[in-house]
Amino acid sequence: MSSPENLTPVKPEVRTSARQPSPTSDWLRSTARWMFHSHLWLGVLATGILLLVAVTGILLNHKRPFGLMPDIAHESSGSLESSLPLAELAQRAAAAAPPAAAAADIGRIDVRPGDGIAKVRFDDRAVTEVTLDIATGAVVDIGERNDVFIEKLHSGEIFGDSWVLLSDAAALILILLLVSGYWLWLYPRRRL
Amino acid sequence: MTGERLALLAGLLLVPVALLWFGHGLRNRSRAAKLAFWGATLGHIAALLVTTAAALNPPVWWAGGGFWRDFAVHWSLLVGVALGACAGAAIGWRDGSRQAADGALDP
Repeated sequence: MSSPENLTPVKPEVRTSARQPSPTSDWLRSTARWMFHSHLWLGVLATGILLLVAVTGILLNHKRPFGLMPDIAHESSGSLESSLPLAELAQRAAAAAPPAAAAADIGRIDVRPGDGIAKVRFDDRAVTEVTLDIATGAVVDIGERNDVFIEKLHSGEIFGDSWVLLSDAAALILILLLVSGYWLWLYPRRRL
Repeated sequence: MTGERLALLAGLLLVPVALLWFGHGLRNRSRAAKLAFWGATLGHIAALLVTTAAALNPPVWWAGGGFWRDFAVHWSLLVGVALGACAGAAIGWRDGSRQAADGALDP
């Protein structure tokens, strides 16, 4: 059984002087608050754009397996010196292309001497590409370059040149989200 | 900038910020306002998926691709939020009026 002395309540120690927050803890607290709010607001603000950029990025990484661009295996049938002139290759490509593509301008001609092919890309809505043998002019493949559209969507360029800035802003926001996320992870006990 | 571009930008940027702003102090709002908020949030999430799917399928430029695809890309974010908010608010008001009617019938 305990003695009466032991039942005497112990008076709590009263602190006479309140602990003053140091400038460092003030700075950490205000920084944590700023990081929390920037993480919240910027994350919500950039959700839609980042979703689109992420999805298009995955599609671009796997554009061949997803069939977004023609996958052509061709061996060179002659040397580059014996290849047909570009003007003739363009003419043959236009003749082989669908009418909508042939009516559009040629965006670019991509010559691959190692593979012995030239890819003639038209500026139509579907971005049709005609692949020709550079030595014989024979049509190897006609297909759509869907990755061109996805690439422009990824960068924001599809809406106009200045829209690239929107994609840049989303990338900057992503960096800020990383920094603020790490900050909130490393200093989770700082009161907001 | 065309109206549909503005609608797309508003749906992408302004709507989430507006929802976040509205979500502060949600605890003190009415049941109809709370349900409108959650309806709008769910509507926006669903509309984001619709917009992304419509923009990428088929993977060609949507201009000239038909009315519905054009509409889904540019306007579905705003329409989704509006429909979700209206549905949530309607459910909240219906429940509120039903409870009020039940309370009036009680002796």
